[in-house]
Amino acid sequence: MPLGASRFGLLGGVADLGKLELIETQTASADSSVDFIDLATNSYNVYFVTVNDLQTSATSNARIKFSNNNGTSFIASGYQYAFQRGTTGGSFVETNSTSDTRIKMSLLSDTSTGSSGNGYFYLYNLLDSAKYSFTTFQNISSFSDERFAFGSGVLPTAETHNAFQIQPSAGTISGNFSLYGIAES
Amino acid sequence: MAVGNLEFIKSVEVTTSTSSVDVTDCFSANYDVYKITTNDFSTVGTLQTALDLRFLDSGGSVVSASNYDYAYLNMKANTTFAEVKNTNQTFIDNIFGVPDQSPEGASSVTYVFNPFSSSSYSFVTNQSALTNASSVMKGQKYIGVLKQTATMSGFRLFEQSTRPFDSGKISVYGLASN
Repeated sequence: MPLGASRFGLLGGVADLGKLELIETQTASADSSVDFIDLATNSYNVYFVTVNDLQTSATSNARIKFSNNNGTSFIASGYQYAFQRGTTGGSFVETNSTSDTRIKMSLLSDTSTGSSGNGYFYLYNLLDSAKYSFTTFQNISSFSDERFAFGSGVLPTAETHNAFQIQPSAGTISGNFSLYGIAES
Repeated sequence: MAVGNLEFIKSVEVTTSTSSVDVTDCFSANYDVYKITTNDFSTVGTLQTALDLRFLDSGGSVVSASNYDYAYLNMKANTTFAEVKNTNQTFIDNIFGVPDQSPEGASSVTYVFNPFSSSSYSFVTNQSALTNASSVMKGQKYIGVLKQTATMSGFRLFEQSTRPFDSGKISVYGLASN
């Protein structure tokens, strides 16, 4: 049987307005990466990131890396992920890894006119030193054809991750990237 | 900080061992669409347990009739993916993930559509991420429905394997439409 609310930290009860809180928007233009640092300055349990009009200087896909030193360097091993990708051409592909140098999201672009990637991802527990850092994501890319991807990833190391990086697999990256905190999460 | 239209309604934080949490009176006529975050759920013991969903009706009673349908894609980092689907079930299985003991755990985002409407079914979409005892990651992409044209006032997150959880936070938000 469920325990009474008094056994839990029960909060709220009436609508409390404005809980998707914009922390920062970065507009990249032919940059090597997009880095969000100083996460501890605006501490949330769950973050939400939008990616709009991602374009790259070469055929490339965007990846996520975490940092435990506020962006001085980004961790380059130990990532896991699994995602499903589908295309308007009709192919559906599973992709996964238990030991990669980054979290792949299949968020793609190339140099052709109109090519871009758009999507979002959530980040969980980054600032909790006792927990793993998780992400869930969904996106659409206009590439050689239109394609979607959804999936999850984790860096299974219990430590504080106070920065993250969006990096292209090749070339440079352009686009709009917004970081939000989900208050009360 | 910019103010948006994601409006906080309620949070319930689990800090003691339990197998069930009711989030009561979180759905209302104020919203059609709700967002639920479940963050950092982990079990008391080392065995994984499935975190399931049932709705609470307008009187707060648990809806356990065989009116739940669901389907999801189970995406593991170390093996091939699996499709799972069921109709006419008494609950929505696994939707909040299958966590085990910290630092492994499960987190998810769920959207609920029309739960308070007495003329529509209550639909859910969800995406989650978790790791098991071997620290292997699994993600899920989920759809589900309660096939009842009745008002729902809240929901229950529960496990039924006698593997209680003692950590986790549920937050419910309304998506303002005007």
